[in-house]
Amino acid sequence: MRQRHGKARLFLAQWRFQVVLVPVTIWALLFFYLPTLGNIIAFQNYRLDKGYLGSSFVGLKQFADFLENQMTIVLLRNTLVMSMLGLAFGTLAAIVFAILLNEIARSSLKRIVQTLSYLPYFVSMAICANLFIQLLSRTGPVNGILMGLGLYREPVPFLEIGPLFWWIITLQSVWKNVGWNAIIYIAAITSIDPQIFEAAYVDGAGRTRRIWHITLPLLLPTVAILLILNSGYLIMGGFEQQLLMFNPVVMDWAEVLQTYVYKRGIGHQQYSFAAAVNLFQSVISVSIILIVNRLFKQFTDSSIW
Amino acid sequence: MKSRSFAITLFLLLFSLVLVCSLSATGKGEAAQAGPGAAETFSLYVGDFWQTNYIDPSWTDPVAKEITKRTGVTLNVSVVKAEDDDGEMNKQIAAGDLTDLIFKTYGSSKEALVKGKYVKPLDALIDKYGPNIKKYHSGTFSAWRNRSDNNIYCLGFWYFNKVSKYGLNLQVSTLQMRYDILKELGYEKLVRDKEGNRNSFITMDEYMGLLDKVKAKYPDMTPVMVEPKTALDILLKSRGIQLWWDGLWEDGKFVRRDHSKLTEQVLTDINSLYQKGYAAIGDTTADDESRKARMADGKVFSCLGYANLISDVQATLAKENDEKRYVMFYLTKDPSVKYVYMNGAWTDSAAGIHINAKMDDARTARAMKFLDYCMSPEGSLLVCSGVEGISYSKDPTTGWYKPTDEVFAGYRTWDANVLRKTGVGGWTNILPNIAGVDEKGNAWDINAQYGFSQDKWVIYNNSDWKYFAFNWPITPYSELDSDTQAAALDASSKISAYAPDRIVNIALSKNVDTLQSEYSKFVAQMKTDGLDAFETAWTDNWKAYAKSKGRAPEHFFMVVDEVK
Repeated sequence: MRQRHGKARLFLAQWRFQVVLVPVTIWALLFFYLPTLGNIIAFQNYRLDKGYLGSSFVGLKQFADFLENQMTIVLLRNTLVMSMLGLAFGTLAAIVFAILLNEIARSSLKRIVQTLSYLPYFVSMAICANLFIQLLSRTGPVNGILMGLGLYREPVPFLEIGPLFWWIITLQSVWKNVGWNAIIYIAAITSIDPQIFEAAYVDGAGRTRRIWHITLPLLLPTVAILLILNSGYLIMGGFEQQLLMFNPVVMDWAEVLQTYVYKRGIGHQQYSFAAAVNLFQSVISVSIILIVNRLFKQFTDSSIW
Repeated sequence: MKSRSFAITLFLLLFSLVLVCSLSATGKGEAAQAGPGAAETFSLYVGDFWQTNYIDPSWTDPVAKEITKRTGVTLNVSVVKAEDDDGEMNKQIAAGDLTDLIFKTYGSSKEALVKGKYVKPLDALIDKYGPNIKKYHSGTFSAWRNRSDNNIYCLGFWYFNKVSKYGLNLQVSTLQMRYDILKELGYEKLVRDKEGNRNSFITMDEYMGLLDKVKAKYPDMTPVMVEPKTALDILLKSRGIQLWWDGLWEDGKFVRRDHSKLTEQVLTDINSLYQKGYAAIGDTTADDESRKARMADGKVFSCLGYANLISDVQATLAKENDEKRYVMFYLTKDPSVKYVYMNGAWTDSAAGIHINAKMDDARTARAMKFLDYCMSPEGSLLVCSGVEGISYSKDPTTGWYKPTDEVFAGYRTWDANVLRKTGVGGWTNILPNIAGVDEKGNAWDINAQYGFSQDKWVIYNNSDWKYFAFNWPITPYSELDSDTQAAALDASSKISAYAPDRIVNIALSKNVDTLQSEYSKFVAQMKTDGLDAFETAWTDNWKAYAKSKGRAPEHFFMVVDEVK
């Protein structure tokens, strides 16, 4: 009771701060929380001309439509595979890059390399997709090199082989994001006490051993946190990248949930269907985060909560 | 002191919030002054993406200025920014943010405008304020009527009042071949007979023979670049079949063109082009820039599709040699096919300008009078041809409207810069107007007559105009009703999400067995997704439309020879 009175008194004493927070609270409520009520259309047969109140309520019909659709299994497969490949290789590449960068002695060179590594992150996905399509096309430079070296007599149709599409997307994603994603790992490595490395050096540990026994274990909590957070994106699975790299020959490997929702839900004004799929994705994402966090908590010392 | 400065800060925050909110509200049209001919401004939203590239929304081109000078009306034009124009229109409707005049030709948003009563019914207004609309376009009213309540809600643009050989631009569904290569091969049909021999028709066997010759003589050249979806259309039409949007009439019902009994065979024909090495899969999976580069480099002999790319590369190809260009031919299955029903806008168009339901009576009357003026002969000449002395001159002997060199060249190649600068060609596809011919037989469209008569390639490409083309109805009948045909609409959205890509995928199959197997799976999937409901609804719509026009559903489209 005394604690509550204390808190209330403090709250009132700081009334000026509370008042300053009012506009931003109203803004957050209006733009972040109030719109979530719009998810009601996932349970309706929403029509623009009828609005929220006039559109008929259909219960779980939209969800059933999605789950019973023949394409759903393929979409889920593609979404999960590309997400998992991206997460696995993206994390690995970022960690390796951060460790290698940390080993560069000259700080000027380190800065240059790090800056250059960020650049692809700022290149728009449209340009990136165009670049990869040009590079990997039958008449592109990659095939030019392969045929020039005599490795192949005919061009390799990289963009027309279904399962290869997943690896191309992964490679593109890693190339684009490795520099940016490595920032957190670089920061984490930098925050390791240098005396630990010095002590290990004195004890005769070489570079590789220091990395294996010091850097990696101390990096694990950061890796764990990021993995837990990113696991929520597994079911979201990308959109822009797949849409831009898409071609009909590889459609059975390229179509993901978001692109399908875009084509059907937005392209054909089936807003209720789009809302239902996205709500489904959100629920699954939250569930995955909770489960993964629980697993990490159980088997490691690292978890978000 | 602290309290005072805090109060001032808080006041400034609230004031700026109110200021920002009020500034974001936009006016939609100004109050009218009384009287005909008085200055009036209407806001117009162009809701179709295609047209936006060809107009200057600032309303400062010569056509726009002349319209204002003659009518007193100024249009405050805003345009859709995204290619998903239907989605953008839907957002505007949802926000209640509609302009005085709304231009929209197709899509669910068009239906939403009507069903949500966001736009006015026009029958009574046409009766009262539209003498020209009634005089010149009443023959089309039946096509313009909304199926559910029989009202007219929009005024069509570019309406053909008569059959005219000047209604051109039919390259979308034709076979395009290189004239210079045909000449080198000694192709006998290059010399055209203007009197009626159908020299621009080529059978599949002849065409395959040409591809063989090209492959043998020019090993570095791709015999044909195939756009599978368009190639499907072209090959179906080559059998004399009448296609409409995505469907055709077959065995008493309207079916999707990818579900016709002929589709599998046509896809096999397309596939054989790849199997025989005439077409490259790489061209189909490449992007437009790569395809254009190959065409412009002279590496492609013929195209089944990609008409938009051909338009872009013609000038580059023909820069040094005028005969190094693509010319149109009409593919037929065999000599028994007499007519080929290409696409082309002709008689019916229920797409165009709507009037906002919230506009008051005085301004509505003013708007109708303005639109009626556009549909008058004088207005149509202005909208379609521009201003005499600026974009054209009138030949004193023939009475022809002769475009300036700039307009002639720019309009012919759909040079967006010229169209925007001169105002000619762009407003034709937005403001209501008469297309076709005037009482003296002269075309309203500035380039059509002159281009047809003076440009050797236009004549060359369209010498057999009596045997193709015509009728592209965009009517309320074509659209599924969201209230009474909801299941069909649902099926349509499910199937449309994958069908166009699936057809391409099937056409590119490794061999015939795979093609047949994949096609069967595709049809099975469509059936699971409600194909039967969709085709039944379409059949009902098509029958109703055919009945309204007094025509047989199996032979709805007509060619010039058949028009009485």
